[in-house]
Parts: sequence; C-alpha cells; structure tokens
Amino acid sequence: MKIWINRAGQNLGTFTLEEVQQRLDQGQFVATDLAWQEGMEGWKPLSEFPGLTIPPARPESPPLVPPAETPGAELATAPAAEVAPAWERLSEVGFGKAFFTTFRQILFEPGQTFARLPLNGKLGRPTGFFAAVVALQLLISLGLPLGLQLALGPMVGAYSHSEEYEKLAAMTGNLAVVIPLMIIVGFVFMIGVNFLVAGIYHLVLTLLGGATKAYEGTYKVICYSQAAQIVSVIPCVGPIAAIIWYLIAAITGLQKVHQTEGWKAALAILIPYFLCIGTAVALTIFLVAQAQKEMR
Amino acid sequence: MKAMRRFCRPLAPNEMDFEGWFLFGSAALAVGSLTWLAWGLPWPRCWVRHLLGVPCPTCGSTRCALAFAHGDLRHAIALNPLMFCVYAATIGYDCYASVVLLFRLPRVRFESPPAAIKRSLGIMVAAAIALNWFYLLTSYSR
Repeated sequence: MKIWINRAGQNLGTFTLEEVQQRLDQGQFVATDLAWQEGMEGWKPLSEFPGLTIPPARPESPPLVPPAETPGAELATAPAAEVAPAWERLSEVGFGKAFFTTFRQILFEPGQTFARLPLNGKLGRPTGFFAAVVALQLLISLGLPLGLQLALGPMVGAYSHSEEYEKLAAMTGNLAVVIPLMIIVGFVFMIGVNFLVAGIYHLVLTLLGGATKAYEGTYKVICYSQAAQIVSVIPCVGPIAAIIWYLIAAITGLQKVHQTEGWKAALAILIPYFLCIGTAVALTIFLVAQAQKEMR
Repeated sequence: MKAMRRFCRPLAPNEMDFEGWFLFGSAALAVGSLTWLAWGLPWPRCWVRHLLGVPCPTCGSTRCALAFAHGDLRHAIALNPLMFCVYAATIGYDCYASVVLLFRLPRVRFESPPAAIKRSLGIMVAAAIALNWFYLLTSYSR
C-alpha cells in the first residue's frame, strides 16, 4: 500500500513502507514528516506511523539552527536561513518594508531569492503581493490619467473623446463611479488571469519534464516575478524592459524552485510567449517587408 | 502501461488547497471577464484572423463562453469545440471543488504519473489542439 509523505505542506511523493523506512535510515525523511495512507482519517508524523522504526539522531548531523550563544553565529548564518522574498515574512517585517524589499530582491537578486522561497502550500501571500503590484500598476497607468482627465475636464486627453468613454458615460453618467469600478473589475480579472497563466507555464514545464514541485511553486514564482512589471512605468523603454526583466525573473524562479535545467524553465515561459507574442512580431515584420516590397 | 492510482485523502496541514484556489481563480476570471464584456469595454481581437483572414487555435473562445453562459450549448460547441470542453471541465471541477469545500470532504488526488503517461498526455493535448484548429480552419472556409 502506498504512503503519501508531506513536509511543511509540500508533498514529497508516494512510497511503499520499505521505501519510507529506507529514506528514514538514509536521513532523507525525518520523524516529523507527515504520512498518510488509505484508511487513515488524518495525517500522522512518521514517528507515530505504524510499522516504521525511527533511527537514532545522528551525532554528526549539523544542528538546524546555530546555537544563539555562539558569538557571531546568528549574524553569519541568519541570512542564509532566512525565508525570501521579504513578502513571505510580511507579519514580521511589516507591509512597507516587505513590499519594497521584495521588489529589490526580485529585480536584483532573483536567483538567491527564489532559492529561499518556501513551498508551504499557502498561496494567500503571493496572491496578495500580485494584487498589490496590480493595484499599483492600475493606479499609475489607469487611475492617474483618468483621474487627471476627470479633474481637468473633457478638453484634455484623447480618452474622454473615445468610444469607450462615451459608452461608459452614457451607461452610468458618472465617471467617478466608473473609474473605481473599472479598476476593481480589471483587478479581479487580472488575478484570475494570473492563475491561468501560471497553470499554462506549469503545464508546459510538466510536458518538458521539468516540473519537480507542485503548481504552487510555479504560481508563487509568477506572482513574485510581477514585481518586474513596475519597470513599465518608465517612459519609452519601460514596457519592453519590464517584459525582459519579468522573463528573466520568472525563468530564474522556475529554475530555482523546480531545481530544473535553465533551458526547460526558459522554454516553459517562452513557448507560450512565442505562440502569442513571437508569432505576432514575426507576422508584423513579414507584413512590413511585404508592404515595402509593394511600395518598390 | 501502469495506470495512475486515484486516492481520496485529507489535506495535510499547510498543504495548498488546490480546489479552493482553483474555484477562486476561475470564478474571478469568469466574473471579471463577463462584467468587462457586459459593460461593452474593449476586448482584444484576434490579430491572426484580422491580418491573415484565418482563425487561430483559440478563435471563438469568447463567443463560445458567451453562448455557453446563455445555455446555447450547440452553438458553443460549433464555435470552438476544444474551448467548450475546457469550459465544461472547469465547471465540472468547480462543482466538485464547491462540494468538497462545503462539506469538508477528502480530496481526490492521483499518484504522480509515470513518464510514459505524462508523454501520452502531452501528445493527446497537442493532438486535441491541432484537431481543433483543423476544425476551425475548415468550418471557417465553409
């Protein structure tokens, strides 16, 4: 009968009793890992699982936490053990610090950050970060120009003369209601899309044989990689730079989290991109070339 | 070929509640999209169809979803059979997710599939996309 093993919310796979015992003896599993098999009502630590013998603690095994009384030990080892990005420690660090530190970590040290990403099954934190980034983006890219137009009147800007504006204005007669509603709907929509996008990346990575962790790993990487989108607020080069930065962060993240080859992580992200954007670019180039040929 | 074994098991402490997140994600996507469309806001158009005059593999997805939402299943299948299957599967999974969440039931999980099954699934997905596109191309030319 197969036994499911779980550590800190992360499934480690299904094993026979002999395989579990073997891994316990080798130190791959620990007594606190949880186990479940058919017929059981809930999960039990391996130490309480029938039919298993917990090997005595190995004297040569290094302690998980360095003794606090050792001078300098805490300073020397704490950053390596620290969970990253900072948003994962939101309650300890506080909103502002966690938000901006996460941006810095994802933008400038994605490899180190994603290597320390905890896979504990909790998706609320990454979804919260993604939502905060989307809110910031919407505020900057949609709320600010629309707010300005609302304040300055219909004589400024093109949006006030657009068909969408007319439709919305005719429908509600009050832009002050429409703008927040658009932001809320766009916000909900983007959160839903993000689940889907992460699912597509995970599917491609699975088909390439590179997915070693569950969907949550991919989802977390995609949520935190959105930090790169903030670069898009820079005029002119911003949107392109944001895409490139996002791709680098997401590919690095998938590679680190799934402990897979870089090319597999890159293909998992780039195949959907090539299918959607790459083909569009190629077609545009083709059409421009055709038009130039006709002009000659 | 060794088949994938199915289990009904409780979630481990701190394990991702896949059903809950799937339900939340799909509902957010559906509510967001339908509200957006109901307001008549701009919706991305298919550039392949616009530029080349032929449908892309996902052409008709939005219209299929709208026909599905209105209960016009025959029309929805005709618009994009693959997307119809995806929407139907999503609704089916959402129903299952709602039931297990509501009654706090054990969750259906499959043993990690062997490489051969993963490969077969990959081929099946690719074949379904190709067949669907072929159908769209032929139905569009008629």
